[in-house]
Amino acid sequence: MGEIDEQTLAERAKRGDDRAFTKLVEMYERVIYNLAFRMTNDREDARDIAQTVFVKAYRKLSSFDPRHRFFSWIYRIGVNECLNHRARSRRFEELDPDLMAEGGAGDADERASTLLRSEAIEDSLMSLSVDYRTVIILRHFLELNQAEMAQILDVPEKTVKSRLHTARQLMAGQLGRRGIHQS
Amino acid sequence: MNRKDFERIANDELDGVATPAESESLRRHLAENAGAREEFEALREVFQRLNRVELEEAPPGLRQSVLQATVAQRREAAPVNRNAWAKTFLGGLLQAPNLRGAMTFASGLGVGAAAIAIVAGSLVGGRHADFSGMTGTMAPPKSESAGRLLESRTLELNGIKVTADTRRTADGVILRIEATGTGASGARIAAAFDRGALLPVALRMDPQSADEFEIGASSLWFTLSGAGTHTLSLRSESAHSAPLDLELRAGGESVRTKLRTDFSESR
Repeated sequence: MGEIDEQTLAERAKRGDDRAFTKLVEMYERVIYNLAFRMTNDREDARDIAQTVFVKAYRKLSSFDPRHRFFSWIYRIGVNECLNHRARSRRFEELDPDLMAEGGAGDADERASTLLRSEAIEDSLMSLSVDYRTVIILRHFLELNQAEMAQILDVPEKTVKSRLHTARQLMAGQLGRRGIHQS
Repeated sequence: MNRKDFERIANDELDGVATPAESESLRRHLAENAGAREEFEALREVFQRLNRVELEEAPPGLRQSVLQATVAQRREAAPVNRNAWAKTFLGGLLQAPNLRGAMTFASGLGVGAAAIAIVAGSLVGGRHADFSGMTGTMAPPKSESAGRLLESRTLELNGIKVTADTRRTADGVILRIEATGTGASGARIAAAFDRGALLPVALRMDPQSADEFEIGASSLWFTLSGAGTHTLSLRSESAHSAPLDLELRAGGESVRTKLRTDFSESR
């Protein structure tokens, strides 16, 4: 299969062309995995989520409207799946008090104060609430613009903008409290 | 420049979408205001650090897993009659020699009507069966009493009684959940098991008493629509596994228990 744009691939996949769907998986596996990884900070969970996203996409292909961009559609499934995963994880954290001690709960400030690992910016990201974390990931890691993010998240553009500003402000504050200065 | 304008223009500037006039007004504001300069530099630092984070490669095998799962999905979504289901099911067994024991069950399809409904994803009508997390061969357990009893526990909440037991078989563990009681409808049961040590291979649910459900690599949950018995088969991937967590949730309350999944003494 030569270089075919993703919309054409999506239309073909919708008509039952499995090779086209395989190509779409190839094109998007990295970004969807990274979306999930940055949302969960857990590689195993990210892998499970990414798989679920593509399986759901495959199942829902018949409802894909080719007038819309495929990437918006698949990212939306991705974000929703990350949120679903989070809801399920919280339920199981409740099941096991031992897991609570590993940092699944608590407010953002509390978690921020116990961040111990690796890159400060990544830890700071994980301490954000899920709405803020999502916009940062979509904007800075997946390089979407605000209009695209608004479409994916199904919120007005001004909400995206406001969340982005607040998220960055929170991260700047956290880096400041951790004594991180310009490098 | 007021606070609100400063935040907006500072972000737009770093996002590269500020107009020349806005950039100029920001420059003037920063020149006159040390606090704003400090704040802007902190924000710039966030941008720089975020933009330095590199995407990781997708894990090897992810694509293959997706494609295998979509093949399984296609089978499940295919128009179903019992013979077609049996063919798919038996085909799966032939590819999974360690599950051939379940063929006994397959040959007795009359016993497994409920299992067929869920495994084939066909007889559940308008219910929201979700196979998204399930990959690989799904084979119903041989029988509800198969294997050696490991542990049995009862949860009770708001008139709902759930009796669950785990049994050890040659291949793995069978979790059997029996829900009774007048308030069973709408309650939710969740099970979390040891990822990596136990692999879900079969789910057998009574379609008259289970509604929306989802199964993943380490968890299962479903909503009760009445009294009934449900069975999950887990294949052992290692000699020992952690106890399984079980939760019953109803009316905003929940009760939990743990069930042994191997014969080791540690809990």
